[in-house]
Amino acid sequence: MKKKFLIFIIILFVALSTTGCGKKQNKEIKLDQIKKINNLATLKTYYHNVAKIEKVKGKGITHLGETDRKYWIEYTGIVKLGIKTDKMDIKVDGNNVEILMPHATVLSMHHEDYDESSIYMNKDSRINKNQISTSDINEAFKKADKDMKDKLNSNKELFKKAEASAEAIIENFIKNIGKEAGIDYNVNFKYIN
Amino acid sequence: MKKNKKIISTLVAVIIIVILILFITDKNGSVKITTKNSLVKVLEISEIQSTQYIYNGVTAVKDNDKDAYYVNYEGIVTIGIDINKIDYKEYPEENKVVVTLPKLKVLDCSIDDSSLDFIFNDKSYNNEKVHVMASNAAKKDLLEKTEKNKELLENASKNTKSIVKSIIQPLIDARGVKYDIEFKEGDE
Repeated sequence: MKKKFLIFIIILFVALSTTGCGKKQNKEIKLDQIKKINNLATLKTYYHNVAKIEKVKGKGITHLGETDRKYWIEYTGIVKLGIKTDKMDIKVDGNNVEILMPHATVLSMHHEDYDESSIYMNKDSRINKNQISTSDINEAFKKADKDMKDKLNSNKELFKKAEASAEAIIENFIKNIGKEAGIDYNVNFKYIN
Repeated sequence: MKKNKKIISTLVAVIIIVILILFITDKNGSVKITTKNSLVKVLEISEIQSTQYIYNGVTAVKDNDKDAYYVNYEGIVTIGIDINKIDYKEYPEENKVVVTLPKLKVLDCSIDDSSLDFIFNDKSYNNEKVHVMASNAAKKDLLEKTEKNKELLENASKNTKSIVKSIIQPLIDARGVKYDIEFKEGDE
């Protein structure tokens, strides 16, 4: 009985070690990719963002002498709004042009360059460091971007403005082509979902 | 003597218990993240975005010609043109139209700050300011790689022409004429 149990333990150990149970999986590396997109960006919005990280001192023997930490990052986020033109359809009948267009959406989000004065923090303890880790900072950026996008999505006026701007740009483009051909186009827009 | 021994052993026991409790309760401090944002300004733009380059790269950040640390990053570059700078001319006698496109531009270059990963050769760089400095270095690296990538620029040129053609072609077809669309690159 003891022998059987021992064999069972050995098999279990081998199985767990070969399946890599408990090992940290390697991060999947995405390949470089050139992607065709089809967007008309019509509005560029600038957001002033402050992401705050508060890390309290740890408990226990390895955290003796630590201090509470505060870390703020201030930066400008840029969000572009516009139309995905691959979903756009153009119908022409004489000098009447009908544009079927999707509603405006968020096309891209990025930030202006940082500088060292973008960061504010209190001093760390000299005895035992309670460092804000890069993964904490990663999380802060993720949250800041999500909150910025949420705030933008709730501002319907901006999306309407992006659509009005898209209409003006497309109409102007078509009218310029018409001018060269001696046609005065009437351009109408219809939105598709 | 016996009394002293008892006190010392009790003291040692108490110290051991305290150390054990400190070990058992050993825990990293919790992290709380909050954010605040406000809309500063809105600008009208007129960009045809035709191509994106999604890149997972590594760049070395140098100090005194030595690699201080390496940054692994994920970034996206968006390339396109300003639609308002497109010029359109018709040549009916040659059955063609000439569309002059402005030069392709990098419209956006964004680094996913939550993707940054590091290898430090010089550990003094592993500090709380490294993240933002690395993000700037990653952006610079991505822009340099974009400029050198001929395949990307060729693709962007092809994609931009295809988008512009998709707007112009229905207008030409509806007139019952057969014009070739010729593209030229402008100076701007």
